Amino acid sequence: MRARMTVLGLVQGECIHVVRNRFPGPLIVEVKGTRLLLGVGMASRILVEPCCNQI
Amino acid sequence: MKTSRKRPLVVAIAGNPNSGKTTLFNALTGATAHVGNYAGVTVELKRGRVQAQGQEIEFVDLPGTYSLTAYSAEEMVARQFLMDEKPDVVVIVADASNLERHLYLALQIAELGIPRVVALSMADIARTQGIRFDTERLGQLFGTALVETVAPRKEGMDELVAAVLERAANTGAGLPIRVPYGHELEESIGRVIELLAREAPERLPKEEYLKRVTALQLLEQLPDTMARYDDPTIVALLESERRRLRQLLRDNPEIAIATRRYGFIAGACAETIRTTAESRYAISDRIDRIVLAPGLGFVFLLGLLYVVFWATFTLGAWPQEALDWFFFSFIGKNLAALWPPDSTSLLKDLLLNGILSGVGGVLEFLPNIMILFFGIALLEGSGYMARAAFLMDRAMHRIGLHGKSFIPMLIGIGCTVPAIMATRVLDTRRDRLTTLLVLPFISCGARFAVYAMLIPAFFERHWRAPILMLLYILGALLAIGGARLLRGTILKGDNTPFVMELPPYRLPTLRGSLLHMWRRGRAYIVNAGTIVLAFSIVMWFFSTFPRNLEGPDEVDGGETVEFSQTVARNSYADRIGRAMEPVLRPMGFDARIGTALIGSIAGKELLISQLGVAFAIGETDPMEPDDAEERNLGELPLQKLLRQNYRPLVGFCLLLFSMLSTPCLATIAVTWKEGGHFKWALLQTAMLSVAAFVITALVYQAGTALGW
Repeated sequence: MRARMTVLGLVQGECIHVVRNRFPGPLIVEVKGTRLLLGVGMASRILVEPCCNQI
Repeated sequence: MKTSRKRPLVVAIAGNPNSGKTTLFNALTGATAHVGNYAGVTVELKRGRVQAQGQEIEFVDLPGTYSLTAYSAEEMVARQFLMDEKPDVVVIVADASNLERHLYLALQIAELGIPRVVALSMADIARTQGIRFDTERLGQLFGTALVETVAPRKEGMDELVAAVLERAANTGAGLPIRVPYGHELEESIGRVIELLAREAPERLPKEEYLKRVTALQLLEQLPDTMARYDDPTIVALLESERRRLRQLLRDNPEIAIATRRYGFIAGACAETIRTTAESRYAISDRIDRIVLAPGLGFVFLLGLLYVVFWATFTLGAWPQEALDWFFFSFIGKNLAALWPPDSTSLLKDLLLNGILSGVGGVLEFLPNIMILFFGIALLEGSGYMARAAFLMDRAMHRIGLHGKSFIPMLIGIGCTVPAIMATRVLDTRRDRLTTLLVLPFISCGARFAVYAMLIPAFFERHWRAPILMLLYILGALLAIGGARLLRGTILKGDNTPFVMELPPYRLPTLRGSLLHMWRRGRAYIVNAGTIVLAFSIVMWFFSTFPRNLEGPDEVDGGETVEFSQTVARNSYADRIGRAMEPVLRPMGFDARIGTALIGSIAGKELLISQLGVAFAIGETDPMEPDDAEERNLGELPLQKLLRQNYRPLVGFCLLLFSMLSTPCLATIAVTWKEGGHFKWALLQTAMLSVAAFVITALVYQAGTALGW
């Protein structure tokens, strides 16, 4: 599964922009210029730290 | 081997989902393309031939994939085509406004050294967003020609074809590119190649770049490559290399490899793309604020589906009536007039009661089917499908699936076979199996044709829409129940993570949607001209022989009669039907319905033709004046006969049974193939048959007890 996410652009060190996060629905995030739908289970397994870069 | 005839150039079109790949394919090939046979035998690949500069080119539209690493079944298909069929040139379609992500696939293809051309799709959108490329430099970095295209306006098509031909003319591999993977990975690659050269020199490709690719694939643990080098020594070394890499890189090798590839792409893009960054989601965001709003989003989804159904029924009604007149009044009467009225000619009987009533009855619903597919094409092309998946994610979680499974179900409204193939987008096998096993509960276009014929035959106008709705809802509920049952028993497991792309909205091209509709419509016509035709003749044979000429049953005008049709007494069909009666009776069916049901095993739309043959409606009976009081306006002869012969309850049971039993042989075949084992097809058929029998019998018995 991780490899699959990597292919979709969720690479380590990449900036990720949360477009929408309304529990309990899935999240919408933007990464490498593409919006992705992420299930809550999936999203909770991604480690992030705040970064100030605008995407 | 092929003879000296010049072979067409095979050009594969590869690209991410939502890259504009299909639009480009349509622009290149137009209506000449045909969808590969989808009887569950081969993978559905669209092919189209064109002539350019005296050279015949065959374009093959590969399934949309994010990578060649083959995580999903779609990717497997694309990969196998590229590796095994060895197309002369690959056109890689990359969304110009989102190159970084789309170049990943291009990079993987480039590493394989396959001759290629990159088509930057939707270049106009990229330009309006202020993105500028240095196509020449980017082309150098990727070892390929880049062509900017705007497929809906056919911009850049000639240049693209020219680039393809030029690429094809330069024989040999298309400049493989070498991605630097960093010290640790490079060391492992070197060691793996060394080992392969020692242990399995005969299996190792000669070209240097292919050796490298093989080593990478082994480190990435691609199952099919692993299977080719399944020697204990090789496996052992790979294990130790992977362990070493995990320690040094603090990550799995396949992730590290993908990250390096993205690094290479990011570098190339930074060098060649200038952007004044305006989000390509600017407009989509505004639309999504309404379409994905809590509550309102569902209203919108239901509204859209309602519009699709409404159009299918209402707009489809008049061409359908015209076709009905054409087949049964025009052709039927003129054909019948060739013989004297009391003729017992076998040929006349075959033409009118066998072929015309069978094939004509099915073809009549072509307009409805085409409108339905047009609607689905619009939903797919606009990017709305991903929104539907978003909205349905929560509900789908309750049944142990997630939002992505909703897309095959929507497609299933059109046809179960492509819907089962669409389950390939699902990431885990468990999700795929669960979804494809319950998919037949979603009524498809063929069953819609059955409903469209049966419902008006038995029910008053104001009851028709509610009954149709009831059937679809019941199907959906059963699909939910089935999925829960499967997830709770044989396909137990955690909910799988949900990831999918949310593309920006796009205006679907009219041309593309019409082409999609036409391709499906043509498949329906071909089906009517082959399978339906064959079964109609077979069914006619069984219901006519052994012939019984002395006592043709009286056809009377009004009251219900027993056996007023031409399933001749003691014909084979009649005997089979009678033998089945113990099973049929609990559901309220008689021998005629029984034989029609057998005849419709190959495909549910055949039920119409089989009932038509069973009641022989091809010939307008001279005994029965076609007066307006008896026959409601626009009512088909078969509908009248059905209404005269059966109670509405029996009609409803017939609807139920058609909805629940296995939709067609193609469904069984494709379930077998996509599920990977015959047992899944068997399980599906068993599940559907039991549900069909039990539910129909219960409804009939309860209804009878209530005196309906």
